[in-house]
Amino acid sequence: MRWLNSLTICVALTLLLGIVGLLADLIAPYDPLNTRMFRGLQPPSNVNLMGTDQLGRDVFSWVIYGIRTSLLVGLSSATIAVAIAVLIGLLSGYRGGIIGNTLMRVADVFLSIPRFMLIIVTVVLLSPRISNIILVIAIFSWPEAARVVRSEVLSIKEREYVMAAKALGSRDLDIMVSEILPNVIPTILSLWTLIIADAILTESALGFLGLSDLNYPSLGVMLMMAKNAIFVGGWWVLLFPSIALVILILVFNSLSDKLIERLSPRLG
Amino acid sequence: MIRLKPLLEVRELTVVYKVRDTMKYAVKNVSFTLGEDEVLAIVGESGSGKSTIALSIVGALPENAVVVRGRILFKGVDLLRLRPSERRDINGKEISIIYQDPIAHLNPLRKVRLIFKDLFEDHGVEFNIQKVLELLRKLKVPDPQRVLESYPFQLSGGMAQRVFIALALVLNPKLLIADEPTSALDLTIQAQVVRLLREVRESFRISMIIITHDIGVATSIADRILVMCDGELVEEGSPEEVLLRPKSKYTANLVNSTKTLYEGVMSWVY
Amino acid sequence: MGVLIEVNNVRKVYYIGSLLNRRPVKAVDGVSLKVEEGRTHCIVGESGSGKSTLARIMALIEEPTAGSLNVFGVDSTKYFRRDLRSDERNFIRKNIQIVFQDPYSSLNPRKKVRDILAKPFKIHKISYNEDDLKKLLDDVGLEPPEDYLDKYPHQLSGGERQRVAIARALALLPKVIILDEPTAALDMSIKAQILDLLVKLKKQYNLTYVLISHEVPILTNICDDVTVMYYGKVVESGDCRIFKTPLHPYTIGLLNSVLIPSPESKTRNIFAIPGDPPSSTSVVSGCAFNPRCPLTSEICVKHEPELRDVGINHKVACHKCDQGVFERYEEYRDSIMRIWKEML
Repeated sequence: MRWLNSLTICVALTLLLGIVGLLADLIAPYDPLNTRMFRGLQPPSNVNLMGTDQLGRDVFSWVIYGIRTSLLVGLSSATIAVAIAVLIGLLSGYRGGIIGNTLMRVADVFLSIPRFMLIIVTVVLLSPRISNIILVIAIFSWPEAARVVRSEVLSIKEREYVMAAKALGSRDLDIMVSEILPNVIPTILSLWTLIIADAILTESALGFLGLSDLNYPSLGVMLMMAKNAIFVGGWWVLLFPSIALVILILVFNSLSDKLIERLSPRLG
Repeated sequence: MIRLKPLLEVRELTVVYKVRDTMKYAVKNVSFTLGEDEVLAIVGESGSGKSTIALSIVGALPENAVVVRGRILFKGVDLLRLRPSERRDINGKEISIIYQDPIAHLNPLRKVRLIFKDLFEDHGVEFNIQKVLELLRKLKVPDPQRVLESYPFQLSGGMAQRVFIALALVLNPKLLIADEPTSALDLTIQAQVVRLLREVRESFRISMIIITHDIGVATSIADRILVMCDGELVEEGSPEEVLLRPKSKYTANLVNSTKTLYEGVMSWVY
Repeated sequence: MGVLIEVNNVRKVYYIGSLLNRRPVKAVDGVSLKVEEGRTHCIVGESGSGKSTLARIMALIEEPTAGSLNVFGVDSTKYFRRDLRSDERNFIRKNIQIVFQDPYSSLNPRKKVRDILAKPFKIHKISYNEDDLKKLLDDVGLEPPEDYLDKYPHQLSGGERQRVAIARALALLPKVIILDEPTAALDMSIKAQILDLLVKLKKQYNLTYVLISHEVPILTNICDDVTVMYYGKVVESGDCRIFKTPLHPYTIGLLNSVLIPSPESKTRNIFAIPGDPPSSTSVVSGCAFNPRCPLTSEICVKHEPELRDVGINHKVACHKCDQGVFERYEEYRDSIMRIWKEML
């Protein structure tokens, strides 16, 4: 059973989550935004699989849509962040120069300020629309990734196959794209999944603080409801969104580990 | 040949590595005996399994290695069946190992004196600085007091080698294993290491196993040579036998290619 | 026979340490040499002698800090300043290739042999087909070639990888190949094979080699000209006869450090030059070898010896050597070895 290893399991779980997100409209029995005045805080039953919150919203539907929101925010912001990171990391790692070094100093400045606080302030200033949330998370996530890419590039550019390409007369752009980039890809992929997990967490935290797009149900918002619900016995409001969040984070974090393990070039 | 009392007996040792989902034999059914005060060289090319044997003896096999079969008897005790705590007692005190890059194997944040002290304490022996100084003098370390108060990176390459060997010898082990002590080294450094190992064998009563790919190193120091190829033992004999009357085709090839390469130099160097 | 590469007083200084505590490391310190067409020019030295840096400078991968090279009649400073017409630049680039020591790091692990070998053609926009690639593999003894084209480097043995690296260097039919320790990382039996291959290719393609190596026994098999380096400087140079009558004490010591496998070697004394080579940042006044040399006197500490002619095609940088030394050569050599052996 060669195919049944931890990477396959991780990928399968990711795909499963993806399908849940994509087919949220079909899976969720109710519109999660629908509030029903007199059906607040119903325990799990065959009508409401995971019960309802204080406002009578169906927790199951909310969780399904919450996963979709999480994935949307996670994937888009991580993709943007990694794209910026790769560009800047490659440039400043390979060429250095004024532009590259300035960009790295900018990254240092970003890294020296508490990230979450900045994100909150910026989202408040820009109003919490989903596109703003994605952009803000992306903008505050690239510096760390850029550092990692840069250090990787710094080590790869000293490898002898890069020297050999230079000796053959390759141009710098060609060396960056065809010699260095393919060898940074495992790192990039792993960074990407890590940032996804991080962005999902950040998005939920924003939701918990009330900074979410009202049209996109956030797992964080349900957790905010749970804060009060558990005092009146509504444990289901806390439990199910939390489980969903933990699974999301775990899957993407372990995907990152497994990818690095599998994709590192076999030298032996 | 005088029959020496065996210190170490390796019996039918078989080790496999698990690489991803496949198994790879590193050592296949290898048996040999090492007598007291004997110097044995295990010669082989990369991937021949020679280092795996050394690692099996000191119990430092990587996690993906499995000893499928065999015994390693050291003074009658099977090293492969020891508990980790018993294993630790033996390493450093009864069996020592040295590597080719001494500075990389010394804690850079501790002074040499403290490195020695740690070693004594790890084995529950009272730290005896006089003994260390005496040993360093015996190994021709100039100004041993100063060396003890230095950090490893402050030592020159030659000094670091001597300090490293002193660490290996200070608790009077019975067996010293040198894992590729000279590979990838420059000629003059290689000659220094071989000289040093020879000094050690002359002034200490100790058995040695030298793991090397260089038949020149092996013949310069060993009483007996084992040749490994693809995990199997293909040759065993004295340096004369291995060089002049090799039994296996592999050894004959190895000796021949070395001789061909050294032809130029043999006619020039005196 | 013409001179293909002329190195004139080349220096390369690196800086190490932090911003506030920068220390210079002179990797190459005023080296001059000539590589003649059709010869194998060996550069001998140990780690820290600067020979690998020199190799990279000669391959025009690194720019010297000072001094210049004359490559096929073109001044290297123009090359580095990008002051050349593109056809001149391409001509130089095509005609100097380099093979590195470690075949594990000189091939991109993410590329198939096919792509590695096609790269030189693509860079120079030369049309090629599969047969060209196969021919290259065939030339370097990888048979049958079609079995190798679609393999990744990690599927090859060390010797096979080195052959692929050589094939890549050969692809553009260069005049000069710089071999930076081509056999150092290989097993003994493979070393011999690679050496045979290099000899064969040299004849077949009229190549000129610059062979950088610390493996004295190996290079004596194929060298025509020799430059011996110690601590960034040339200490002795000439044709391969200098191995018979080495003059610089370092060369004498180096040649005597070879461990020759022989049945008597166990009982023979092993010689090693006493002392350690200078570390990269240390500063030695005068001759860099003076702390280890048996002939050191005041002048060796005060003045740095210049490389000068002492015989036909034999230069040495030592205050203690002059033309007369050949007349009493054996006495000279034995006295050096005697003093050293007493020191040990």
